[in-house]
Amino acid sequence: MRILGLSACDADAGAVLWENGRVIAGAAEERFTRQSHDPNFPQFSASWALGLAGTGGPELDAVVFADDPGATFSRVLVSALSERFPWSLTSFAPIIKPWLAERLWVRDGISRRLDIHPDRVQCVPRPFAMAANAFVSSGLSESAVLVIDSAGGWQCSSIFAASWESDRLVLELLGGTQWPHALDLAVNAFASHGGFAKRDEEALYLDLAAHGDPLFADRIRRMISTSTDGMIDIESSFFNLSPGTTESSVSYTPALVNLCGPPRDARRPWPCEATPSGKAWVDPEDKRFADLAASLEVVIDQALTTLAHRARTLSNFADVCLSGTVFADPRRVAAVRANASGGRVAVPPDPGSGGAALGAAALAASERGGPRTTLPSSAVGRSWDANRDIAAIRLADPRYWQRFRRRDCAVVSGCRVVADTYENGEQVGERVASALGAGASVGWLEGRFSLGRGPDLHRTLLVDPFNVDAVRRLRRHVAGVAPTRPLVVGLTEACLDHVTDDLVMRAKLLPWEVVCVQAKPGVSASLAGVVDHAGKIQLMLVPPSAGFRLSEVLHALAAVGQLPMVALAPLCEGAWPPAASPADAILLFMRTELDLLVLDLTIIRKEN
Amino acid sequence: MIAFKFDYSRDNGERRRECLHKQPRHPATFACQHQSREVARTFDVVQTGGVTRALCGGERARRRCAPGRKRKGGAARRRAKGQPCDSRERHGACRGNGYLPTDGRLLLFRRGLIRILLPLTWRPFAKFRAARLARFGVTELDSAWQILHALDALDDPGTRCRVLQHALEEMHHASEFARVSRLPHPSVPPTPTPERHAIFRREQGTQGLIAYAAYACVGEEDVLAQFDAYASGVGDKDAEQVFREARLDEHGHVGLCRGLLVGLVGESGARRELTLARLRRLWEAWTRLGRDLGDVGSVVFFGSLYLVLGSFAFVPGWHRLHSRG
Repeated sequence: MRILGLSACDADAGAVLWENGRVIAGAAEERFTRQSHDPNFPQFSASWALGLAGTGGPELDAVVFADDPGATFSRVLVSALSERFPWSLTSFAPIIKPWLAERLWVRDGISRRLDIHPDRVQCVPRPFAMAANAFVSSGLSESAVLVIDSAGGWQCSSIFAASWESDRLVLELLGGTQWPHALDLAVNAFASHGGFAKRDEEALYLDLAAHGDPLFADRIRRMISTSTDGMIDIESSFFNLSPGTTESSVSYTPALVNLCGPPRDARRPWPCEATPSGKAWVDPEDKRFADLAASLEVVIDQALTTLAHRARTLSNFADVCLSGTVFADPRRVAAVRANASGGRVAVPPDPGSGGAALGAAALAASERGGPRTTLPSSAVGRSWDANRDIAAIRLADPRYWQRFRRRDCAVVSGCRVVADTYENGEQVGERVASALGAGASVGWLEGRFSLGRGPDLHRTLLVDPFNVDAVRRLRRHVAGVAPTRPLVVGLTEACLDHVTDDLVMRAKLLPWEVVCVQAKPGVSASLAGVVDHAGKIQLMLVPPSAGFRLSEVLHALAAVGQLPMVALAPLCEGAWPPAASPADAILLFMRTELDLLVLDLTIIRKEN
Repeated sequence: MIAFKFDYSRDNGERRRECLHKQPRHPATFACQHQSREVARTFDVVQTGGVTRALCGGERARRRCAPGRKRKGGAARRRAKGQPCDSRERHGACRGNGYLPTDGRLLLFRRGLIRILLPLTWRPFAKFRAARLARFGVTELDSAWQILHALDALDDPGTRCRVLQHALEEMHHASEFARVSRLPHPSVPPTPTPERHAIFRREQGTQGLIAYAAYACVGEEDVLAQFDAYASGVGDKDAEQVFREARLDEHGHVGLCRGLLVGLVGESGARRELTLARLRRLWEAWTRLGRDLGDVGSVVFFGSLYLVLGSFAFVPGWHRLHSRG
C-alpha cells in the first residue's frame, strides 16, 4: 500500500510518502524551492518522493491532503467579512482570490497535477492530521494529544485521545477552542509588534525573554487567559483577526499598542547576547521589548501547561504528545514537561504544518487497513552525490568571493580551495575534532536530511561549545542569526552527567528530541557560549550507532581527552531554509566565514 | 547530462578555447568540436600563480571596466561617472562582447517609463518602496534557484564552478535587496513567496538546458537594461548603489548564459533560441498584463461582493467570532 500525504496551507508545505507502515520519503517544500516556509503546493517534494519510490500518481492507493478546504474557507470568509467591517475592504480581494482560484478545489488540483483519479484524493481535517503526526511519531500505544494550530479550519487548539486498536489508529476529539482563540495568532502579533518578520523571525522574539523581566504579565493576561474549563481565551480586540495572508496586514490593533507601547523599529540592531557576558542595553526601549517577550513567555507557558493538564484529565492518559509550531521551541516543551507528573511528553520531528502531511498519510493508511506506522528516524529527506560539486569547487578561487561575501563577514583569506577526501568516517572525525579544538566553524552535510527545521545531525553547523568566541563567531558571521538565538549541544549519553542532573535526559528520548534542561552550576561558566541567562541548556543525544557519522567526531574528541560535545546550528544563514544539497552548503561556505565544509567523506577548506 | 571539455591554450599571444569532440543535441556527455572566437571571448582565461582558471560573471565585467584599461572615446569620462564602459551597453544593444542585438526602442520606452513612474511612486512612499525592493530580492533569489535547479544537468567541473559562482552572485543580490528593503520603513516589509516555476525541465534533457540558457540570457539582458533606470529613479542612496552593483554583475551573467548557449547550439542556433526566448517573454508579459487588468476588474467585483455580503454577514459573523468557542 502506498499513500502520499500532502500539506499546503498558510505555511510550510510538505510531502510524505508512506509505504506499508514506513515513511520512505518526506520533505518540506522549502528544502527544494529555497523559499523559507514555502506555503505553495509541494510539487517538487512530491515529485522527488514519487521518483525515489519509482512510482507515479496513478500507482498510488491514495493521496491525502492535510486540510479541509471547505472549513478553512468558511473561517477565512467569515473573518474577512466580519472583522473590522467595512475597513477591511481593500484586503478582501487578495484574501479571497487564491481560495476561489485554487485552494477550494484542491482535490481537483491534486488530481490534475499528479494524474490520479479524484476519487483517490482525500482531504483530512487539519487538527486530525496534526494529532496523528504527533502520536505516530511518538511510538506510544496510547496518549493524550494536544494540538495548537490555527492555520486550518475553525479549530485553534484541540485535545485528542489517541490509541492503537489492533493496528488501527483511533483519534477521539475531546475538546478544544475555535477561532479566534488562537495562541499562535497572539505570538505572531507580539512578534510583529517587536519588529520581527512573520514566520521567519517569530522564534527569535521569544529568545529575548532571557534578557527581560515579566513586568507586563498582568497586562498580557488581559489578552491571553485560560477559561474555567482549561481552554485558551484570546481577547480578540487586541489582534487583527483578518487572515494574515495579505502583504499589508498588521497582526495587532491599536488596543495592543495602547497597552504595550509603540511597536519597535525593525531597523534597530539587537544589543544583547545569549551569554552571561556581553549583556548590554543601549536603550531602555529595547528592554521594554525584552520584558514583553518575558511576560509573553510566562503567560504562554502557563497556558500550555494548563492545556496539557486538561488533555491528560480529559483523556485519562498520563502521556501527552504535542503538535503545533509553538512546540518547535524546546523551551515550550520544557515548560509542559516540568508539570508532566511522570508522564512522557513527546514532540514529532516536525511539529508544525510540514508534519501534517505525515499525519494525514498515517491516518489514511489506518483507515484503509494498512499496518501500523512507525518512524524510527526523521532522516527521510533527499540525499545527494557530492562528487560533482567537490570537483567543481576545487576550481574555485576564494579571492573572487570577496565582493559577494555577506556584509558582516570578514575578507576571505586564502587563494584556493582544497578538498581532501578521506577513507573512512574515523579520519574525518579526527580532522574535524582537531579543527573544532582550534576554534573553527564546521559545516556538516551527509546522507539524507531530516524532517522539520529542528537540529539535524545530517545537515548542521558545528562549533566547540566551550569556546565562547568561536560560538559568537558562528552565530554572527556564519549562521547570521541574532545573538540571542540559543544553540543546541549534541553529546553522548556518557557525557550527560557532566552537564546536567535533570532526570528527563535519562528517560527514553526520541532520536530527534531536543531537551531544555538546567545546566550544572559548575558547567555554566565553561559552557558560557551555549547556556542562557537562566542557566538552561538545550541538549540532543547523538546516537553512537551507524547512520550518524557525526558520532565519529564525538569519539575523536573523547579520544583526545575532551568532553564529547559539539554545539549545533541549522546549516543555513539567517532566515533561509536549511541547506539540502551540497550546492546549497557550498554557497554558504562561499558567502560566510565557514572554515571547513564536510561533504560525506570530503573536507573542503580555504587555503593560502 | 552535458559536459564541456575545455582546453585553454595560448597561441601567438591570443587566448582561445578549443573544444573537443562533439555530440550535438545528445543528452549524454558531450563537448563542442569547433573553435569559436565568440565563445573564446566570452570565457576569458587567466593564469594566476601557475593555476589556469576561467573568469566568471562580474569579474570579467569589472576587468573590462577597470581603471587603466584602454578604451575608445569617452570611456574614461563614463568611467569617472560610474557608468558602464561601452556606450552600446547603456542602450541595451550590445555587440561584439557576446551580446545579441536587442530592440533598443522597446527598452528605451521601458526605461523612460521607469524614470517617470519611480519618482512618483517610490520616492514619496517609503513603505511601498520597501515592499518593491523586497520583491526584487525575491526575484534575485528565484534567479539563484533557477541556476541551482539547472545545475543538475551540468557535469563538467569548470562549468559547474562558473554556474555556482553565478548563483553566488544572485544570492548576494538577493540579500542586498533584502537588506535595503528594511531601511526605508520601520516595519518589516512583506516578503512574497510565489510558486516556483522551473525554467529548466530535467525531462527535456539537452533541449531543456538550451531553453533555460536562452531564457536566462534574455532575462539578464532585460535586467541589465532596466537597472540603470531604477538606480537613477529610486531616490535612495543605498538602493541606488545596490542597483548599480547588481547591474555591473549582470554583464557577466549575460556572457555566461550566452556562452553556455553558443556552446550547446552554435552561433546561429543561439540567435534562433534567443529569438524564441524573447517571444516567450513577450507572451508572458502580455499574459501578465492581462492578469493585472483582470485584477483591477476583480478588485471592483470583490469589493462589491464584500459590501453586499458583509452587510448581511457582519452581525452573525461578529457573533460567531466573539462567542466562546
